[in-house]
Amino acid sequence: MEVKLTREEIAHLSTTPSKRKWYSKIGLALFVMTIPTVLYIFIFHYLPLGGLVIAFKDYTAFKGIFGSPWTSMGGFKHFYTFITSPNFWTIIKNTLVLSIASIVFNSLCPIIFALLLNEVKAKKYKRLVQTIMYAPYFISVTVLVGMLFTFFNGDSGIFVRIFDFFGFDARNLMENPDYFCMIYVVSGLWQGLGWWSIVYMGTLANVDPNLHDAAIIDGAGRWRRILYVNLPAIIPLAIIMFIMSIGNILSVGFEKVYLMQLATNLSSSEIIATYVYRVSFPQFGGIPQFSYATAIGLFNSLVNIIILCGANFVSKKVSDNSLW
Amino acid sequence: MRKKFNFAQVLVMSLLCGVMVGCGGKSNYDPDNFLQNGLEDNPYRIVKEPVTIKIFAPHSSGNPEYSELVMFNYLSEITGLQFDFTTPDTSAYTNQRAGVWRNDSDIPDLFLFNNAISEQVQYMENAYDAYVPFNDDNYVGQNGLQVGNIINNYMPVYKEKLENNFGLDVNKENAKKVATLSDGKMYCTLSVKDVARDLTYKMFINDEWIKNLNEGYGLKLPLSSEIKTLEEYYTILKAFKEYDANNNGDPDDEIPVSSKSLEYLRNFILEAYGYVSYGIEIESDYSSYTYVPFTEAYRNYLKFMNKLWKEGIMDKNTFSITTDSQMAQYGNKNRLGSFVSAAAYLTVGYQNEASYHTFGPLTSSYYQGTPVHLGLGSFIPDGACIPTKSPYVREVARLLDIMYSDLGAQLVSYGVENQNWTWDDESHTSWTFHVPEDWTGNQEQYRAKITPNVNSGSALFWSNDFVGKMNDDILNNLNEMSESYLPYLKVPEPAEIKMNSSEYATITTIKAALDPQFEYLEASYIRNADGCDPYDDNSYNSFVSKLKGYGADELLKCYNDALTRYKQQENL
Repeated sequence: MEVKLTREEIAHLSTTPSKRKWYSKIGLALFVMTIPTVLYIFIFHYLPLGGLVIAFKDYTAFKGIFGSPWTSMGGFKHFYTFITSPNFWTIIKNTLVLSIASIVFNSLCPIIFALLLNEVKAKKYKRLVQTIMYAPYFISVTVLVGMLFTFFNGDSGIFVRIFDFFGFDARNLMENPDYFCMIYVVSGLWQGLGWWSIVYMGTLANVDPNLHDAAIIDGAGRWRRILYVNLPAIIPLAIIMFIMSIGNILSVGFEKVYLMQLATNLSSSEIIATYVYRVSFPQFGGIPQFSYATAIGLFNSLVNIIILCGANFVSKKVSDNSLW
Repeated sequence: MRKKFNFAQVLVMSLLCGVMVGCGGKSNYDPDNFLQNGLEDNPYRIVKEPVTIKIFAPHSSGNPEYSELVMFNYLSEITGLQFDFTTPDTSAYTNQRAGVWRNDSDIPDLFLFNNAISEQVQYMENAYDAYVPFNDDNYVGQNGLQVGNIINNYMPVYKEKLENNFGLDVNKENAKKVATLSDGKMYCTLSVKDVARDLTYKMFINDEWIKNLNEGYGLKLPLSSEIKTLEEYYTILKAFKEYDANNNGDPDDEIPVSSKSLEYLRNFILEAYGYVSYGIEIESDYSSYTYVPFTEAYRNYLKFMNKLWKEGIMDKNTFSITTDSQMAQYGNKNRLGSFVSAAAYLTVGYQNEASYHTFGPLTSSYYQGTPVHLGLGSFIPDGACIPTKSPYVREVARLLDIMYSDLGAQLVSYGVENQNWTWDDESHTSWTFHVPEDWTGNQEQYRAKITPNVNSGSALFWSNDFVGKMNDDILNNLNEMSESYLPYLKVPEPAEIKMNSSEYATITTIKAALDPQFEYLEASYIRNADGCDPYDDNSYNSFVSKLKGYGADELLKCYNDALTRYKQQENL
C-alpha cells in the first residue's frame, strides 16, 4: 500500500540536521537516559571506594572513616602485618590453586559441553539434557555442601558405597585436604556446567549454516566442522569470558569454601576470603579488625587488577581479542 | 491565578518537615516528665507522659519483630515508655552497630545485649565519652542534667544485687570487678546467669548400655555416677565398642563416643589432665596464664585421643560432623554411647533420653588433683550501654533496673505472670509455663515469641531463683545433673582481667590464624595424618614450633601482661 505524506510532514522530515535543536544534536535524551545508571554506578560503586582509606588507618567506629587516626609505617602497617603473617603463603597458595583450577575447568568444560550438545540432532533429547544440566544451578550452595557431606558420610554415604564397589575407599573424603580442590571444582561443575554453557549454545545457534554447507562441500566431516567452523565462532566470546574470570583470580567464592571447611582439610581450604571473615568477625568478643580486613581486601583487588591487565595484554598480542 | 503545588514541591516540603521534626526531638526533653519513684499505684511507671526510647539490639530470624515480643509490650505498658527498635540481624550486628555513630540522630538511647568488652575498653582508653558511666558520682548529662551516680540514684535493685554479688560466691567471681574497667568506671551493666544448666556443658553416657554389659556379659563397669577416672571411662568405651551394648543383635553398630568436631569433647578429656581449656587458661593460683597446647598435659591428651581414634572408639565421622542434627541421626537410632550436648533429648530424642546421665569431671593417673570442669562464667560485662548522646539517661536507667528485678527476670525468661506462666502454689515453689495447645512448634520456639532471650541475646538476669522453679521434669532433671559440676567449675579466662585495646586487637589478629591452625594440627595428631604422631618427640616438637610460628607466644604475652596489670591494680 502506498503511503502519502502531507507537505508539512515532508518538510519536517527534510529538515537538515543543522536546523535541529542543540539538545537534539548532542543526543541529550540519550544522556538523560543514562543518568540513573551513572548515578547508580557512582553512588554504589565509586563512592564506597573512599572507604578503602581505612586500610591505611586504625579504624574505630566511633571516630568514623575520616576521623580515625592513620596507622603506623606510613599507613601500611596492616599490609605489612598481612604479608608477614605466618599463613600468608598458605592462603595465597590455596586461593590460587582453587581459583586456577576453577577457571580452567569452568572455562573449558562448558565450551566442550556446548560443542557436543550442539551436535545432538534429536531435539527432545537435547532439551531434556539441557534441562537436567541447568537444574542444579538453582540449588543453593548451602544445600549443595550439605549434600556433599551426606554423600561422603562414612557410614551411609551413597558416594562411599559407589566408590567402595570399585575398590576405592571414599570414606570421609570431605576431610581429606588432598581432595578438597577436586571436590570443590567437580561439584561446582556439576552445579554450573549447564548454566555456563548457555552463552556458548546461543552463539553456536547463530553460526551461519552456509559455513557448514560450504565445509561439507569441501569434504569436512563432523569433527572438522566443529574444529574449523563452530570453535572459531565461540573463541572470541570464550576469551572475553576467560579474561573476566582471570580478573577474579583471587576472589574465590567465600560461601562454598567456608561451608566445606573442616579442621582436617584446613591446609587446603583456608583462603583469603575465609581468613578475612575470621579477622572481621572474631569470636569471643574480640575487636573486629575492619582496617586489617580492608587492607587484605585491597591487596586482593590490586593483585586481581594486575593479573587482569596482564591477561588482557597477552590476549591482545596473541589473539586480537581483548576487553579494551 | 491560584498557584497549584506539584508533586515535587509537596515531596520537598514533607522532607523538610521530617528533618525539622527529627532534629527537634531531643531538644524537647522535659526533665519534669521523669518519675524517679514511680506512681503510688504503679511503682514501675517511669514517665508521666509517654516518651520514645530508641533501642539498638541484635535480632535473630528465630524471633518475631521486637515490637511484637510480649516482654517489651508489657514493659512499655507498665513504664509508659515507648520503644523504637533498630534490630540488625545477629550476623550483621557488628557492622550495623559501627554505622550508628555517624549521625547523632542514629545514636540510640540504649544498646541492649552484646556490648563487646573490647569496644568499651577501646572507647574508654581513647576518652571518646561514648557511653555513660553508671557509677560516676559527678556525671552530668550532655543536656546539662545533673545525673550523678546512676546506680546509686536510679538503680536500687541493680545496686543491691551488685552489693551482694547476685547471691554468688564473691571469691569465685566478683560482679563488681567484672563490670569495672581500669579507670574505675562501669560503662555497661552485666549479663548475669546462675542457672546450673547454663553455666557449663554436659557430658552424657548411656547407663542402660552399661547395665546391659554388666548383666549380659558379666562385666563390672561403673555406672555414670561412679565413673571417676579417665581410665574407667576408657574401659567403658572399649566395652561399648567390643560388645553389643544396645542389645540389638549387631555388635558393630555402637558408636562409643562422638562429638561435633571435637567441640567440648576435647575439654572433657583435657580436664582429666588438669586443664579445662585447649587455648589460653589461667593457673588456679592466678600466677600466670598458660597456653595449654604447650603443656605436657596436652600431649598426654593427644596420646589418649590418638588411642581412641586408632582403636575405633571415637566416631570416624567426628571431624565431619558440623551440626547437632548430624549427631542426632545416630542418637535417635540408639547408637551413641557417650556425647556432649546441651540436653540429652536434643541428641537422642525423647524416646532414649532417660538412658543417658551426666558424669565427670574426671581425673587420671596423670592428674590426681581436684577435678576441674569448664565454667562459662556467671557475669559478662555486655548487658546494656547508654550512649552519652541520649537525653533519657535516667529513664533508661530505671528501665534497666526493672529488667534486673524479679519482674524483669520473669519477663525476659518466660514472660508475663498469669498470661504466659502461673505459680503452682501460694508459696511460689514452682510455676508452670503455658504453651497453647494449638502451638505446633516446640517450647523454645514459643518462648521466642515472648522474649529475645531465645535466639537474639543473653538475658540481663537469667535467675535461678525463678527459672530453677519451673515445673518441667526434663529441665529440672537437667539442672540437677548440671549441679554436680558446679563445685568444680573453672573459668579459663576470668572476665575481671581485661586487656587493653591494643592487646585485644593483637589477640584478634593472632587468633584468626592460630586457632584454625591449632585445630588442624590437633586433628592431624589425633588421626596420625601427614606423619603426625604425638608419641614421637620430633613430631611433637614440630607441633609446638608450628604453633609458636603462628604467634602463640605473643598471644600468651598479651594475657600475662594483662594479668600483671590486674595484680598491680588489685595489690595482689
